[in-house]
Amino acid sequence: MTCESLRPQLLADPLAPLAPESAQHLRSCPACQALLEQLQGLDATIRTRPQTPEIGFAPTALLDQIRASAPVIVPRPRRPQEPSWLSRLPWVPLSGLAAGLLLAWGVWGDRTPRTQPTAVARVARYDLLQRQVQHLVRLSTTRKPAEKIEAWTNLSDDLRREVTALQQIAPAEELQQLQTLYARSVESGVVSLAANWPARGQRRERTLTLRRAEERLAQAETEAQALAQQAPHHARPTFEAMAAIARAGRDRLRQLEAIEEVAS
Amino acid sequence: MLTDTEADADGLAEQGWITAAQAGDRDAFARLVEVHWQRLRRWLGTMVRDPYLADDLTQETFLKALAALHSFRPGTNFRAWLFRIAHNALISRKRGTRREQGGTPPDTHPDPSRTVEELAEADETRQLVLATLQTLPDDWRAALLLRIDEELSFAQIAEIVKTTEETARWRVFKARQWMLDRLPEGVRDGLRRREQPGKPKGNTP
Repeated sequence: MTCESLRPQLLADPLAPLAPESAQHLRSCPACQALLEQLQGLDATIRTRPQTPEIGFAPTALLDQIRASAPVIVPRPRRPQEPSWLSRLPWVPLSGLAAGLLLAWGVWGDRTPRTQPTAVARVARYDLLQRQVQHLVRLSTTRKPAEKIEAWTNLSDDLRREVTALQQIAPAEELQQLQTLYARSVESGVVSLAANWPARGQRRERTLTLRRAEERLAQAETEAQALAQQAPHHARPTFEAMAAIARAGRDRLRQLEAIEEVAS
Repeated sequence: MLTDTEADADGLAEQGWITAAQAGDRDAFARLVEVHWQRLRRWLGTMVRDPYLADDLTQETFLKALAALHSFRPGTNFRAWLFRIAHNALISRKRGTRREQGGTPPDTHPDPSRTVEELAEADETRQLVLATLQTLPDDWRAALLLRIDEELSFAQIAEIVKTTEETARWRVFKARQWMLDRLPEGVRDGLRRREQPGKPKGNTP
């Protein structure tokens, strides 16, 4: 009997009884004894390994169904789904912003103007409220990031156009309220969504969407800059601020595109 | 660990439940599920490394067993029969989906009778052994676990994994050899110092 002939026996079954000559070799061979001890330790380690983690799926439902006389229809263990990036967005704050826009507009819109509004201004204000509601409905129903970004861009454009329409008649503080809402819709709406939109699998759609939003912000900046030169004195700071907001948003979108290009 | 008398009593009780279940007693089959659920899940869990899939496969195994209960031959090994169904379910699932998960989680119940140094060493040994276990080919790991955990004979293992007794023995042999060959010498030495609770010393001279 040699180590070479005993080794396969031990590896296959370290607990099996050995033939007399194998047992005699084992008693006198430190190497084979060491191997046997290693194998026993190996088996013990495997045997005492941790349980498969519990996931809270007890066989209770299965047992209940089995014990019932009806056919067995049991629930399957459900793996928690990885939340999408859309669901990880701060939708409560964003919804709050949207609701805030609506509420602010409602409050602002109901106030009696200090100067007599023109017919155009009245129509514009009424239209804005309608359009804001449409944007909010769109935002709450669509799940596609491209459509959400477009809805936020439309919303911010409407706010900007409203300032343009009311520049002659609305007091400075009311224009500033619209400016604040405009800033939120650009920063917390368009830019925030774009920043949280992972490019994987939708790179082309993401790029196109960001470029469209970028172009519209660039156009908004140009128009706001021009209006800042022509508008009544009290409205100029609002247009200047809106031009800055649009520029910052556009720059941020460009930055996101550049990061994506480098990453790809 | 069960005494022979307790084991015999359990065996008799199980035979009774099997007979009753085959006669249509659902409650008797539910008892069989309760008895075998954990060990079946443990084996499947180590094979697939995914607790959700392990639960799903365990449940599937028992549902198939219930459906095929009439085909079980009384007097043969019910546990081995269950593992055969589980192995078939496992193979079917692996054909359908290839899913790789992380390694086995660390043991959270170290032996309090050891020193910190011994515990650290033992924990490292355990981690390396379990990591190496997961590198085994599926066929070898399945056979090795059935041998070590379930203490099934090579003939029973062969029946479960649908091969010959010689092949089952060879797979267990190769699995242990593979693992020892891949463990560092220090870890192999650490194995020699490991306690083996409740197990016979076997061939220890």
